[in-house]
Amino acid sequence: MKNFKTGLHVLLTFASLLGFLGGWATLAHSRKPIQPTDNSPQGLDPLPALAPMPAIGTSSSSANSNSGLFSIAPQQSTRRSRAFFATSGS
Amino acid sequence: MESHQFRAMNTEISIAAEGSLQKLAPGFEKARQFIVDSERRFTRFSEDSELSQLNRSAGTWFRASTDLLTVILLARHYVEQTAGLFDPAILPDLQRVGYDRSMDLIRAQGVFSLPQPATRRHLAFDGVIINPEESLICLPEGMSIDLGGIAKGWIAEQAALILADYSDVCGVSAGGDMYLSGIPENLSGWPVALDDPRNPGRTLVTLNLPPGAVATSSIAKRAWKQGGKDRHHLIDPRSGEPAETEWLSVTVVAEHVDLCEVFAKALLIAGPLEAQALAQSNEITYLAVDHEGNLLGTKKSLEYLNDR
Repeated sequence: MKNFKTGLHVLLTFASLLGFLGGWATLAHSRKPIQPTDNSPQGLDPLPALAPMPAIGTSSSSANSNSGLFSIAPQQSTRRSRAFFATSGS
Repeated sequence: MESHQFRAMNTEISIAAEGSLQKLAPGFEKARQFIVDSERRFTRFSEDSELSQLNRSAGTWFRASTDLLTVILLARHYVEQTAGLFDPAILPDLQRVGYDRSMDLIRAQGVFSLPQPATRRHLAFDGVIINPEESLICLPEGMSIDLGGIAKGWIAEQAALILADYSDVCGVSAGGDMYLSGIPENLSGWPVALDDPRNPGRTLVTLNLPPGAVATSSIAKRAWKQGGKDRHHLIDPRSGEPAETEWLSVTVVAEHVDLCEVFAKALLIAGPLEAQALAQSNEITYLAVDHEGNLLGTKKSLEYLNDR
């Protein structure tokens, strides 16, 4: 019985040591993990680039989400001479 | 393009048409005479006008002319369409805040009365009883009405239709409320300047408009001081006071001038928060200018800027 116990201890010790060394060797030869600084990792599609936010008041017709209206940039020149009529409220 | 200008309805009237002056002259004169006659009928500043007679008849039946009946029927329709934001029965409130004489006189003399709080809700226009077959109108007792804006728009359109007998391409503008018929030669539409309400004479954009109508309502022009208090002519029927709105002016483009005039007023009173629902439910195309001079417009309105 005592010999059986001694043999079992040796067997478990040997198996544990073998497993530890095997795992170490596997990890040591595996591919390195992806680093956060890597901009173009192999096997991954690059993220789509986001369009820049439009600057408020610079576009000729940008949507105003509050009222459903579009912002319209005033014309640069008054050009009144080419208009037949004018409307401004009375 | 030949043109003719004169003053009526306390505003500048501008008439323009394509053709020889010799051919157009009788048309110009007929249109002018119609405007002058209509002003006499619809003004609230003359005791003799048909409108003043109607106001004095409140509580009894009044037999109206075809023109007055037509405008009253239009007004009733628009009171419903605007959920009461347009209401000709605000006249007592308008007079209380100082608009008790013509704007020409107020500009020359100022306002004598002092600010007073609204004492009671005005009688709403939907209480008016109309018998179109007999051309009879009955205002509820105590009611008096002002048809200023809607009548001015309707008159401008009728004058343009008179002129259209003399020229396929013509337009009539009554203080910026205008009806345009045909399209000017060699152009894709009518170039109409939309003025900055803060600086009249400075054009914000030039619209390129199809035949039809456009009108602008503004709180910047018909404004005065009453006892040191700033007042303007656009009464909010819900409060009986001059409307407190984030916009200075609203311009509407549509088929008829009376519709443009009424909705420009209603949208201006409604302001940004309520205007969208009102405009969408009535398919109204409009542009608004806020107190900083920023110009905003519905998606459809952008089509009128396409020549920029």
